[in-house]
Amino acid sequence: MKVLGRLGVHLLASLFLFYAMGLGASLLLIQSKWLDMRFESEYLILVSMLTGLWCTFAALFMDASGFSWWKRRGPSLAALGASLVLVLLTTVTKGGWLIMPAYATRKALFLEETLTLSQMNGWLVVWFLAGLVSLIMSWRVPLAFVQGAPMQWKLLTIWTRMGMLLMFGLIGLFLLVYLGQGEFQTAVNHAAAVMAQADVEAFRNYLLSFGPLAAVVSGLLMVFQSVIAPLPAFVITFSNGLLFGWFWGAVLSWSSAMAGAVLCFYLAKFFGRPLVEKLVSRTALDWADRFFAQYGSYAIFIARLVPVVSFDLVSYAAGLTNVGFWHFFWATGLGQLPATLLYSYLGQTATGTVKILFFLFTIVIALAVIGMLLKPRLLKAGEKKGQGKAEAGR
Amino acid sequence: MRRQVWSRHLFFILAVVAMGAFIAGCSSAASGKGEENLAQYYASTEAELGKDKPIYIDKENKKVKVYATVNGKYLVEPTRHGLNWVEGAYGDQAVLKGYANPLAFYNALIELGLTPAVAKGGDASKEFEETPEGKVIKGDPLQITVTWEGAGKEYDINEVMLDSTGKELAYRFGGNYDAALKKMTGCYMCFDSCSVGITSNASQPVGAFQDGKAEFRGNPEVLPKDGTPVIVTFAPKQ
Repeated sequence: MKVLGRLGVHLLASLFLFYAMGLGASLLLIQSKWLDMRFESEYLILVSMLTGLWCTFAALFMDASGFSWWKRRGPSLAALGASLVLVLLTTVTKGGWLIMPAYATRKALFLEETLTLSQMNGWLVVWFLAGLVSLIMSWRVPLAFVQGAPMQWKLLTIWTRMGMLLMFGLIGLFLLVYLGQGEFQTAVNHAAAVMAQADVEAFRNYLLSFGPLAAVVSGLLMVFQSVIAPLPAFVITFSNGLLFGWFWGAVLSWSSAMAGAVLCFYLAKFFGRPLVEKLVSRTALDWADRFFAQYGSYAIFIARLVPVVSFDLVSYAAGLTNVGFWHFFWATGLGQLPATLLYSYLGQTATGTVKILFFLFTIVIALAVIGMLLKPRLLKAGEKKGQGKAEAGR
Repeated sequence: MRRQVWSRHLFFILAVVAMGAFIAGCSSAASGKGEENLAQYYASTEAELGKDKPIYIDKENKKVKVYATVNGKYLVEPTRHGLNWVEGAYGDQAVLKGYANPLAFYNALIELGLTPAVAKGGDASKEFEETPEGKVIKGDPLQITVTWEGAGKEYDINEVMLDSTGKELAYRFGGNYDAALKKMTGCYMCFDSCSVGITSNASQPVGAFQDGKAEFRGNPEVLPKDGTPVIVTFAPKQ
């Protein structure tokens, strides 16, 4: 119970502080008419709170105490004070102090259909009190919670740390712009809808509608589909071959797929590895680590070749193991190359019937590769069985 | 041992919450917002007006009534949008929130026999009139009133909306069907002359808000509080 209490205090303190900063910043940005007509700054509150959640996560499970700055009295009071001043300045002068904070909070938390502004104001009072109490308590209550955190922040190289921060920064930025910019959101939803149709012709036309930016959009969508696993990559690879010729199509598909795979790898490593280490037994984890070290390249090869297998899941799975980044990079780079070239070439030349035949062909190849890998094991198992029978017969 | 069990569960909850928040934001998927099935928004009687059936065409009295709700933010902050469809790109940026595709609103005004500045498939270059202050929208002039439960009367649009320059709002039927379909901003009523909104204010030229020449907001002294349903009535100006 004590441990839960401590976690609760720090989580609330962090969320409260980041909420306050998000609220102050969003109300400030709303003062810019130019920005307010193009971007819904209220969502800064949500992204700020998610950042607080991320910092709590890092501090708790990766021993990254540098991120838990709400524990420090000076900085947290300064941030809280500044945010409060911003809120008052932007609302009291316009007579909106009973409207704007509640409106912005309600919108950021997707509660517009659930709460009226008066109800939101009521909750804000409760939240303010609870948050303030938690913040003060967090200055006294120790944070050390998970003994011997599995993935120590300090043990990561500076490049890995920078890479992770950059990646999460970009994800946060994407989320913010997606939520806050109506036209961007519509475009992304439309792209997802087109890709989900798994119709190469439709997708090709969609890319063509971007004119000279088609290659850029294709690259971005390949990265996007890496994170959203159900969306099929082969549609993009085929279309790239169709639009840019098999060689340049392959170059584009290969490089954007690599970027996507790296993203999945680090996402899984950050979120998944600590989780997986807690949830999965040591033996199972060691098995998975060894499996990937030995068969990783084959797994990627098969996953990339056969359209129905999710390539992204393999990247996520790799991130969950303790395989090194460069090993993963080269395994992915080489493993996906045959399939990328084939799909690009077919995209450029093949008709619909040929494509269907090709899908069946890839499944056959995949089964053959699996069979080849499993053969020694099956033979061994067969021998043991034979020996056992012979012994039983004696 | 117990600590590990707790940490396992809490960790999982944290991770799920974080992912859930991310997915929730992405899950508001837009299906093709085009011109399909516009008839779904029309109420068959005035009593039926509501979020599901937000437009009523009163052919007998030559009026179009639109159900909307008040957006409290723009009683305080300025905006250039009077009424937008919540599912449009600028759905949350108007004084009043509408619940029907603006193309259905366009069709409703056409049914009253009104003539837009630029009709569906028409030449958009002819929709503005050049004046010394800039380009102002053409099209049939409109009488717009607003009422709500407990209002006691039909308020003129100039009583419920404020123009910082003090000019009276004078709405016209801009039309802009094609631009509205292409951009899907969701705009019904713009506070300055506009090439996308179905109707816009001819007292202010194009870009008046953007150029900082005028500011517009709902009148907090008159309009009811955030979330209150209102009925906006559009009729040809006599």
